[in-house]
Amino acid sequence: MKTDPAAAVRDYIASLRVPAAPPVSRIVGRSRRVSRVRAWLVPVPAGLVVAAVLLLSSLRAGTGQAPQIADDGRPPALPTRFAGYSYFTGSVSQSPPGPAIAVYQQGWGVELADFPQGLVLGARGDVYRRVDLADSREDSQDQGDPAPMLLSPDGTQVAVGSHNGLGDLALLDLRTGRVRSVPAARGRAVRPLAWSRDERRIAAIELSKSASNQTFAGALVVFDLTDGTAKRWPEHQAISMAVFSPRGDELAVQGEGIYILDLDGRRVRTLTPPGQPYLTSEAAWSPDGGLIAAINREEPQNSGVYSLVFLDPTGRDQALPNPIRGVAHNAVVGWTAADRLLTRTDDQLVEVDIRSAQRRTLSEFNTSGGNYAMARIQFAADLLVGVQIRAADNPNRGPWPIWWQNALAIIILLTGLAVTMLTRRLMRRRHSRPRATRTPI
Amino acid sequence: MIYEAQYDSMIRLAYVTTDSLAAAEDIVQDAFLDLYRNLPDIDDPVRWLHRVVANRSTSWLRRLIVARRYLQRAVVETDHPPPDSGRTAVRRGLSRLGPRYRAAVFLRYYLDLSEADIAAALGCRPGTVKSLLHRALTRLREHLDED
Repeated sequence: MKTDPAAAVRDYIASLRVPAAPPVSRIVGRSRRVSRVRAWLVPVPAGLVVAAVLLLSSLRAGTGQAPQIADDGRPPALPTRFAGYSYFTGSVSQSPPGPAIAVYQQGWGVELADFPQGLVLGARGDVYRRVDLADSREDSQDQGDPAPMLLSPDGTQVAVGSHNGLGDLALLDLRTGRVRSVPAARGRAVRPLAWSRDERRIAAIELSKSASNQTFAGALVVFDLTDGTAKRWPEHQAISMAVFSPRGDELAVQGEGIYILDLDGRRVRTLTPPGQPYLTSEAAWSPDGGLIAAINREEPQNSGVYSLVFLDPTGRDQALPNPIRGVAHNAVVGWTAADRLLTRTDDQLVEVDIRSAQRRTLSEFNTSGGNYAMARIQFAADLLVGVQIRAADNPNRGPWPIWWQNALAIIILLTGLAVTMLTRRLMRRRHSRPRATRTPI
Repeated sequence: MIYEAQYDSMIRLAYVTTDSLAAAEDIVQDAFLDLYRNLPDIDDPVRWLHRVVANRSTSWLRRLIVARRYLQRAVVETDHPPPDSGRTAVRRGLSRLGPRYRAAVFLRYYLDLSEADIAAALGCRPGTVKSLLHRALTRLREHLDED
């Protein structure tokens, strides 16, 4: 018997057991849920992520190893005013600034928000960068101070020690951001003090690992950067400052007194000035080699008044300039000429004519009323001689720090999500008001 | 209400085409969702449902076939096998047809739609529908007669 396929199909389809239709509210609810998700969960966060990525890309543009600031041939110069404290200064590793004229620590960490920062100021413009290497090597007992830093005479490198026994001295190239490690005594703290003018040697002190920035004296060590070797002498164990002669063949050190060493550690001369002056700066030796500037505490000893005194490192009994009274204990920071000493106060750089004692303000520190102190400052000795003064310009701080970029990205995302959710809630509220409804299905 | 009136037949359309009740439910509920969202823009909801369910069922089955080729799985899932041997033969016969043949057969012999309406639902010309139905019935008849 022939089968009617149409009838058979009809019968088969009718026999299929079909579950009852779910309530339409479930379908519609699914629609609302799905549409809510589809409406914003994918495109809005995706848009926000894209925006954040674009923003970060633009901020991070230029991050890399290439020098960011070209040497445009301008002579080294100091700005009339240092830029103020900022949390948004980029780092050397993000954006190498090129040669610097000064390295400094701003902030003591004693005010409300003056977290100490290690910074460099570019030699040819208002370029500021954080020395993030010094931040990363800081020791917890230094209360936020960056690790000790020393700028090379030509301003191209910063030597960074450590108080936490890392066992090396790190050399940061400001032109490329690269770091080179010079081995030091394992487990000992190392604090660089002076860099020879020929860039070959660094005089430093090694201290016990428990030393902090409040420990002033340690064992003298001279690193030879050409071969990575170091010289140490058992008789020079309590040195607080070292100064290379301009020729780099002698070293004036502050120990029990002030004395001159040759590079083999032999004492060549002992300086016996009246009073008890002491060396406070690696820049104390004049560029012509004829004088050493030291600081003398005036009587009474607790008066807090200091004077500049000049010592003869040559042993030739030459006539010395008169002491100059009324300076800060850390006044000596460099020489702009053989007879002009650069000194600092709490908020100024002052050039002093050592023969006439005439003073001239060259630059000011922006300390925001003392809230962000210029804690320490050191200059590139070669760039300071004959340095020019230029009007301060807007500071170039480079790309924002990585932590701030990440924080900003998170803020953008969270703000965007909050705005989106708020907008949708308002829209839902508006849609829930009585109005011409959608035709029910 | 379109939903209550059409849900059952749409499930059967998708079921016949896909041979999977679970897939049929998903397809039909998604179709009603889209209908709900776009209702103001749809002139003829029933015809629109026919077209959407048939197309999506066909697409689902094609995806399944491709997936099976990759997985080399020959097992055909069976949600509710009809107990009757004659109906089993019909089901086997339908499974040998392509999805568009099955949809055409369903629309013509279960819903009694005209060839023009079926053409509109399947997105083809009426002549193509006539051809689809003719071939489908011929093959079904051969299969049923063999059994």
